[in-house]
Amino acid sequence: MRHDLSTQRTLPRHQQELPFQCGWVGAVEAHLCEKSGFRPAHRVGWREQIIFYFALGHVSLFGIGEAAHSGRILAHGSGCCPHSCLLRSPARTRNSSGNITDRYSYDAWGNPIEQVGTTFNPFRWNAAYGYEWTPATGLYHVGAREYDPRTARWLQRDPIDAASGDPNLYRYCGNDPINAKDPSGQDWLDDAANFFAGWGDTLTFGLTAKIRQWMGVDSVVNRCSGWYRAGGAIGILHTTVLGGSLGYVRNARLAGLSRADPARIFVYGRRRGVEKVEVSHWIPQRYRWVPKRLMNSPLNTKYMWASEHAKNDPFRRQFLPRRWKDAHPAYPAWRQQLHRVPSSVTGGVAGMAAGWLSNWWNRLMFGEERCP
Amino acid sequence: MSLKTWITTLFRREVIAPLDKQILDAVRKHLSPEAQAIWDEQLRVLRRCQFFLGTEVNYYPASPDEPTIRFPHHPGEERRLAVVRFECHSTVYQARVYLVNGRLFSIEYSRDVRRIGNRRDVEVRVLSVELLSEPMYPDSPVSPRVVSDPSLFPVMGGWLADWISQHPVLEMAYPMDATERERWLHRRQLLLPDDYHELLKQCDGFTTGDVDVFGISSMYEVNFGEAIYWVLAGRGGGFIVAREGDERPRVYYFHHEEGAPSAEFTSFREALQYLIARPNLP
Repeated sequence: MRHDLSTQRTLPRHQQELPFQCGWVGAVEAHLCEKSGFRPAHRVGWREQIIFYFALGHVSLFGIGEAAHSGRILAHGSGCCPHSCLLRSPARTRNSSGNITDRYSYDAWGNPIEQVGTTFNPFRWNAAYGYEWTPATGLYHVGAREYDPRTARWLQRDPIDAASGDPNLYRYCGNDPINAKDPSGQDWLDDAANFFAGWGDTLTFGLTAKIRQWMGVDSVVNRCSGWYRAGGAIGILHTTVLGGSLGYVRNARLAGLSRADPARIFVYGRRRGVEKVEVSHWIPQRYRWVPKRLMNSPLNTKYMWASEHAKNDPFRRQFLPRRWKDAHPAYPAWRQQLHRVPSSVTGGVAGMAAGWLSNWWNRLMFGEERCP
Repeated sequence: MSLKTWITTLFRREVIAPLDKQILDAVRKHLSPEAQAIWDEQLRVLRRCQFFLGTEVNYYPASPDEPTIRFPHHPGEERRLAVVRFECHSTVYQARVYLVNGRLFSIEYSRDVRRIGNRRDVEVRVLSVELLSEPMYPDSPVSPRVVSDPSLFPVMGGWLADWISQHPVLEMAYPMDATERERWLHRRQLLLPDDYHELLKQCDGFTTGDVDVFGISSMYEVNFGEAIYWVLAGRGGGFIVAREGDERPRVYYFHHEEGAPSAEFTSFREALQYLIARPNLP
C-alpha cells in the first residue's frame, strides 16, 4: 500500500497507480528510484510532482516547477542518476548554489562520529534504505521499526514475524544487509502478499481478487508491482505444469491395456484378435541425437491403441497387413500430427493458454493496464 | 446430370497420379480381357488415394461399403499382383502392385517418387512388367485350424515346448501339411532359421497376448525400399522379420520407428527373446 508521507493518508487509487508518471527526473528514473528504496515525500496534485528523499552522496530533494520551490526542499542537487542512487550514506550537504554546507561521518553501525554544519537533515546513514535519523532519541526510524546504533540492535521485533523466514525477529533482512533492504520494515510481507495474490489470481481467473474485494482487503495488493507480475508468471507456469501433468496422467491410464478386436482382423486374421496399447514416440527413435532420457520421457511419448497408432503414424502403418489398411484408411496428415503430440505437451499448452487467458482477464477486470 | 453429380465432377481431383496411371496401364496390358474389364471398373470407382512416405500409394473407393467388382479372391487375401521396373530421369525404379480382397489396393515403390509422382509431364520408360499371378483365379485357401483351449493345442517339442512353458499361449494354429508349407515357402523365396522351420512343423503360429508369432497362413510382407520383409512375429511396435531373397537363413529385429533392421539373428528363438526383452514396448 502506498502512503502519502506528508499527510500519512492512503492515496486515492488512481494516484496510487500513477505515482511516478511525471517527475523532473522522468518517469523511468523516478520509478527506479522508488524501487531503490526512495519514497515519495510529497505530492502536489495528480500526475504532477513528486519529491523524493535522495541520498546520493549529497542530500537532495527533487521537485518540478512551482512545487520544487514551494515544497519542503532542503537543498537542491543535481539530477538523480538512479544507478548511483543505490545506497550510500550522505557525507555532505550542498546548498542550492552547490556549496557544501554540512559534513557527516559515521561508524559502521551508524553512530555519528562527526558533524560539521547545522542544516536539519534526518537523512544520513543508510538514508537510501529508508533510515531516518531522530536526533532527540539518537535512533534511526526505519519504516516499522527503530534501530539503535549504540547497541546495534532493533528495538522492535520484525512486524511480519516468522513470515520473514528468519527465526530471529530482531534481525534485519535475514542478517544480509549487503544484498537486501527493507525501507518499510515490512517489505517482505508486502512483496509476499503481492506475489501470492498474483499467483492466486492467475490460478483462479481473478476469483481470489473478487474475494479480497468482498473482504475489503484488496487494497493491500499492488497490481502494478513486480512481485504481483512475478506471481502471475509463476501462476502461468503452475497452470502449464498442472495441465501437462493432468494430460500425462490421463493418457498413462491406457498403459498396458488390451482389448478384443471386434473385427478380428487387426491381429493378422487370427480368430481371437487382441488389440494392445502401444507407445508412440513423438520424435521417433531413429533420431539418435535425442537423449534416451528425453526420448522415453512423458514429453515425447504417448500411449495409444495400436489401431490409432497405425492411423497416425505412417511408419507404424507400414508394418500392418494390407487387409487391415484396406479397412482402415489413415487420418489426414494434419490430424496425424495433432494426435501424435504427447498428452503432457497438449495438456501443458492448454494449461499455459488458460494461465495467459486468466492473466489477461485479470488485467481487463482489475485495470492493471493503468500501471505506469 | 444431378446437381450433386455436377458439383462432384467440378471439384473432383484426379485420384490416380500421372505416374501411378502409367504403372497401372502397364500392368493392365498384361491382364486377360476378363481381368481388364474388372480392373477398369475398379479404377473407375476409386475416389480416394493416400500417399505414405513417398513410396506407398493406397487406393480406396468412396466408401468401404460401395459395391466394387472384385476379382474372385478369398476374403482377406493379399496378393502381389505384379512388379513393374521402369526408368525415369536415368533412375531405375521398381513398383509393386498389390491386390487386397480381390481389389486393387496399393502401389509400393522402391524409391521415393514424391518429385515425379504428380508431374503431368513425367516420362516413364517401362523396362519390364512381371505378372506374378493371374488375378482371375483364387489362390489355394489357407485357413488353418485355430484353437484357444489349451487342452486342444498341438503337442509341442524341442525349444518351443520350453518357450511355451514360460509364456502361456492364448491360442494356437494347427500346422499346415508339409507339401503346402514347402510350396508357400518356396514361392516366397524365404530362407528361414531351422528353429522357425521346427516351429512351423508343430504349429502355424500362436499368440501369448503379448507376442504374436505368425505362421505361413498369417505372415505378411512389408516393403522398405528395394527390400521386401516378411513379418514372422510382432510385439507392440517391434517385429521379427525375414528378408526375401536373403542368401543365408536369418531373421532381423525391426522396430517401426527405426526405418531399418537393428539386429540380426541366425536363430528365431534368440530373436524372440530379444523381442521380448526390448524396452519401450507395452
